[in-house]
Amino acid sequence: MKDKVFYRVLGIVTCLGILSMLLLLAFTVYLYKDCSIISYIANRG
Amino acid sequence: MKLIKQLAMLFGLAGFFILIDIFLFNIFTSRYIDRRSAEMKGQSIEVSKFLPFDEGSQLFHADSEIKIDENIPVLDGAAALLPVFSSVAEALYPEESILFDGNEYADGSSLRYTNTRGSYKALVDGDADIIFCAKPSEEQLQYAKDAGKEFVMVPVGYEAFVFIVGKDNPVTDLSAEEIRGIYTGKYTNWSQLGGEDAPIDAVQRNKGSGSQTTFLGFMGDEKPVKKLYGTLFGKAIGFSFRYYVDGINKNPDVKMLSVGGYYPDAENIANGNYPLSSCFYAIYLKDNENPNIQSVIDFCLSEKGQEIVEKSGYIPL
Repeated sequence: MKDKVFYRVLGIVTCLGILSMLLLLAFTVYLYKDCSIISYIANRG
Repeated sequence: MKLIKQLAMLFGLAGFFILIDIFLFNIFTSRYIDRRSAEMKGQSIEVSKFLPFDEGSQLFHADSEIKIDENIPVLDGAAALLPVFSSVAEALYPEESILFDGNEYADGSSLRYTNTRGSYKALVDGDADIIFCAKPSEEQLQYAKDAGKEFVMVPVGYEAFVFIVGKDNPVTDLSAEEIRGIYTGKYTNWSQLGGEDAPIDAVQRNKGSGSQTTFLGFMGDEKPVKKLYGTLFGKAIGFSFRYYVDGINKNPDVKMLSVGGYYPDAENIANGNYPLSSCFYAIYLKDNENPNIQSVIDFCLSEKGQEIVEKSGYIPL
């Protein structure tokens, strides 16, 4: 694989990785707003 | 060889992000997922399910010989008490005085629902005449004081303040001192209290909510602290009112703790053995001159009113 292509793919994988983390964090915040203390404790065990 | 190294880097990087996402999901995201079935979620408070004069309503329908047709006091209150004050409104008020737009009560309705914090503010601001809530917080008392208002609080029924843990937690009973010790950081691991070796995640609610105010009253002069380690990795303990845990919002994955050897069932609450039973109140402003406020209060304390309290899942006086 040429270096130029490799770095481009590396950049895309990094962007997708960061994007997935941000989406997961946003989803967590969304769930947090609606979660009751009872559901939270049921999940924690 | 170069290609193998490049592919290893790419897959390594992708794997790194996947591991981070799995870690974040397990530590943070998963704890906030509501895992109840759709049927159980339906048991949560939805205003439309507790509408007065609605045949499909889950309200207890009580009759009253007394009817209030003018100077109708506006009722408001906490979510957990909506079944009580909706039922009171149905018994005393004309149907046309209750205005519901399909999602919420409309302006001008004699029945509103803005939950604990909203209803205390509405009472002081003059948007509600009687609210049904637990005791006010220091901030709510200060808000009234700043406005030159004074609350009159009439006990209407009993409710229990309960502490809850996950259903698999082997701990079933704690003393009040042990619970305070958990929240002040004296006890940080369940093994110190007869449970398994796991950090304690001592959960609190948002400031100004009815249960948080009751919790702070329970703690007295002792200041609750938050332990980050327990928050990240521990097994949780929290609090609520019994009606939420055992009634409208029942979740089979949590259990209520006995306190001092007494389980918060109806018998132990009524006879006072359960130490954390407390009243909930009908609250109005001392300077409110609406003559029908007393009629509503009298009805709440009457045999019919107390039947509403009982049939709505609470303990009558």
